Amino acid sequence: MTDETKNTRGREPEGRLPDDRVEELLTELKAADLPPFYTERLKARVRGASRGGWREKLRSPQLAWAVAGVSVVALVLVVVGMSGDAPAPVPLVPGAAIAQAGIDPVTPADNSVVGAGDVEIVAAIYPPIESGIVRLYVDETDVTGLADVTDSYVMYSPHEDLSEGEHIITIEIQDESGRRLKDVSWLFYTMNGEARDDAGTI
Amino acid sequence: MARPEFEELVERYDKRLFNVMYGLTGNYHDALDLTEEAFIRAMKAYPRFRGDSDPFTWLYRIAVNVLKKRHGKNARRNELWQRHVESDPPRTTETRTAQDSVLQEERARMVRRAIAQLPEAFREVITLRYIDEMSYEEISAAAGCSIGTVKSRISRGKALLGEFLKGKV
Repeated sequence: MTDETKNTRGREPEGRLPDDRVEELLTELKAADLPPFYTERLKARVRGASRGGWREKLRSPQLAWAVAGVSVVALVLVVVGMSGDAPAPVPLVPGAAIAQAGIDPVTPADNSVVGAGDVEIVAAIYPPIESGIVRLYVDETDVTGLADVTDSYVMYSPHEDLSEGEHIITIEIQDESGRRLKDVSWLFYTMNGEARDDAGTI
Repeated sequence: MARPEFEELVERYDKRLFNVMYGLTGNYHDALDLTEEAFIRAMKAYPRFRGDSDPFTWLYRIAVNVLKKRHGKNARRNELWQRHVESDPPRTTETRTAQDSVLQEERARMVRRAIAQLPEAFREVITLRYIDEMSYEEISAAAGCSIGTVKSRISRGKALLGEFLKGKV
């Protein structure tokens, strides 16, 4: 221990607070609260990341048969899409009323910049809703049928890299009759190569 | 003992890890961001986690690596972090009178700001000791140094805090 840092009991060390006062101030510090629903959002984000991108999914041998089976369904969806009809509504499990629910964008962050091949769209819905129709639009194109939608989150990884530049995501919750009750939109930007590490955070 | 599901770790440790990150950065919003990124990285590494060490210590090491990587990548960010401390809103769960609350929160803000200005080695042990309330042994394991070093760093860190806080609280 140096002379500068030595505690001088009984008198105040010159140029600094006494150690016992510093100790008192440090002991006063309390744990800060997390924002509401932070844990739920984080769990949704972790769940989304654990699923990996489409490339990883398609490399998995366990999913090979599933992919083959789903391709038939996808073909039907493409045909439906080409005919101009909207994708089928997504049935939801029991939970809260739509009016109580919020849609919270998780990723990409609003106004962030991400690599064109690294786009993974995740939004949390809280509290989970009991009924309704959730729709996801990317650049005004309805991609709901290709997204993973539950009562508490929406997740979508584009099959192909998005074009470089600005993109807008919109998530809507409609009631059974198709009336829009909630909607959230946010922007992000894609660029080729590695995304900026601090994009959108300052 | 069966290894917990990863989401269980999120529920159990997110607030604790966030508070340690808050102590290390002095910035509420950056701490939230770092905590999230640390959990994402931890989730990817979880299949390789053998459970030999305490899960929180393991999470903490990952979070510190995320923090160091960010600081190393962008020096200007460090400067911005310090500026952010000025406008940072610490929140606590305590119920006090409005005036006491304001005074104590202001004092806490000053202390957090001072901790954020400490050299990294001191900031780490002070945060783990006073915000996470770890024992010397736990800090030694988390920080990867001897108990003697932990005690010495805490003592020197407190002395520096005393200098930073002189005339401010």
